[in-house]
Amino acid sequence: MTTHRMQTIVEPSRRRSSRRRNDFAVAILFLAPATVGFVAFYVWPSIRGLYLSFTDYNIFQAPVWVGLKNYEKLLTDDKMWNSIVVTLEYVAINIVFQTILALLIAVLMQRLIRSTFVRGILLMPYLVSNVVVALVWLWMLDYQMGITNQLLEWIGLPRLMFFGSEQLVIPTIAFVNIWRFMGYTALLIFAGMQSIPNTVYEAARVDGASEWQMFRRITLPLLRPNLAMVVITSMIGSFQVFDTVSVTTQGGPVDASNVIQMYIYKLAFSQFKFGYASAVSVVLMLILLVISIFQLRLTRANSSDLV
Amino acid sequence: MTALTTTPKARTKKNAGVVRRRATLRMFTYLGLGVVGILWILPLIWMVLGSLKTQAEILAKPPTWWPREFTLENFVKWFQELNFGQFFTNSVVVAILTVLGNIVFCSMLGYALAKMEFRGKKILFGAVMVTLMVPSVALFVPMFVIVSKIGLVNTYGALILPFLTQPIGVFLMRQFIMGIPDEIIEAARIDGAGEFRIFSRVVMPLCGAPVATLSIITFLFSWNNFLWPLVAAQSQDMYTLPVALSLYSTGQNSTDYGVLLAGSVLVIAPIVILFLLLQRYFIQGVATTGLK
Repeated sequence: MTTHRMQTIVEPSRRRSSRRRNDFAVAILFLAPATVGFVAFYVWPSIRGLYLSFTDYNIFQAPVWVGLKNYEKLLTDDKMWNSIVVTLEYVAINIVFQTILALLIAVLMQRLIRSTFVRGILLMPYLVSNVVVALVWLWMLDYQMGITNQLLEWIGLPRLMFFGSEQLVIPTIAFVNIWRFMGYTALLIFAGMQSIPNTVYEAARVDGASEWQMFRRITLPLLRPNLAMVVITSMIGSFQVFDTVSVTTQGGPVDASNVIQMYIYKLAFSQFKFGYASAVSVVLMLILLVISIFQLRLTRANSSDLV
Repeated sequence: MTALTTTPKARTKKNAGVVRRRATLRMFTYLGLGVVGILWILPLIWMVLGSLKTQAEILAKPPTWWPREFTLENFVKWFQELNFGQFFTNSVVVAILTVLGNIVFCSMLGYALAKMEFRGKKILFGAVMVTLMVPSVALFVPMFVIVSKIGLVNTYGALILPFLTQPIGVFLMRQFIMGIPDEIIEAARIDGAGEFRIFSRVVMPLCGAPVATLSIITFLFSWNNFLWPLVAAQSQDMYTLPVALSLYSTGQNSTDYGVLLAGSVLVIAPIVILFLLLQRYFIQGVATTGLK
């Protein structure tokens, strides 16, 4: 009886897999275009970038092999360390505030209103091009004619050089991007909350739990894997911040907002140091890879307490 | 018995109070959220109003909220002096070809990864995941070197080719196609359909939802893409809209806010129109893809 049943279960799947074994000839046709693109625009640039990082190269003449010189230079390059510190400051401000605010909005959406209209409004800034977002805020935060400074003056506070002071420039850029991404992040967190069954909340309410207790003891623990993914994905994006900086400050004042991508861009396209720029790119890639490996490990251990 | 009949009554009475209190709370929440919501997109409203003001009014102190006199001069400048038509065409061509390429190539790869057995499948999928996490824009310097060596700089090819297969799209298509029952595909195979026929006539017609999502996120990505077009497009006739806008803002026109705001409105108008038409797909698409 048992053997008979096992046979009927095993047989079709075995037949199917034996038929699938020799899909390779067909599969290659399906894989070819994407794989060619992947090799041409990912693998090859990675290898080429690694090679160029060991050379002196100004793009007009052939690259000259210099061994580890670029990397030695990196270690004592104050501008490069400055760009890492500035980027870290940006990532920290951006991630902390964005996550907390987005979590708050997501909870409000889950517990109070489930309107598509509100979601649409929230998502709006995310749809707007980075360049436009940067321009609009550059105008609104302008020292002379910006509405923000006129308001500050009107309520009796001193005007602020948002993009012009070394202390304020990174927080300002971070807040501009928080404005752009917060609704998007909130939607992602909200989507994650949908997987928490309503019965859990009902049970808690019967037991007399307050909203805060439900958030603290139910939402947060069950959301943890999802939240971790969202945070790490935004982190990888934040490390590559460029557009906003490029439009608003070009890295200034005095390199106070010279984030890594901006530094690489300037090295390559205004100083034509393509070799050295590649070395800095390799450093950036390494940072991103480390975060990604961290993320991969998280996804593997991604089972929340629900499953 | 009596206890049983009175309890529900008592509960309804108590509930009525709770419900009323909840309703007031709810009203205030809506009100609060309405205010916050308007403040939230106020910068965008302010931008649109600003684009309709004269340069003198933009500089006026105190600032005016509603334009005293509406003017289209800022927009006219984009069409008459700044070659808007060319930038717009470039952006549209690049975005549409990128979307089409992604629909075809991501589906093909996604189908192979979901429904075929071949050696190296796991490695290939791993590669997709890595590119998903460390995007190729981080490699823009060596990519520029390669593109310039093969003579593609300043062509549509440079703007489109690197983005024809977005890893997120592959992932999306694979996940969806995995959910299509094998039986449907087997049935088509028994009827004598070849792999390409199965793919184009059986699998793709079922993929409406993920293709819609993929199209939206790819269009959004391409339309707003900045760093790569900034280095790859080097002459005016190849600029996409964000590049044109940003380069106009860095010159001697950096305080010409009226024109910059009009340009901003022109850049986001197509996206906002698409969004209003396809709002549900946008929200679903963004929410499903962001989670991976």
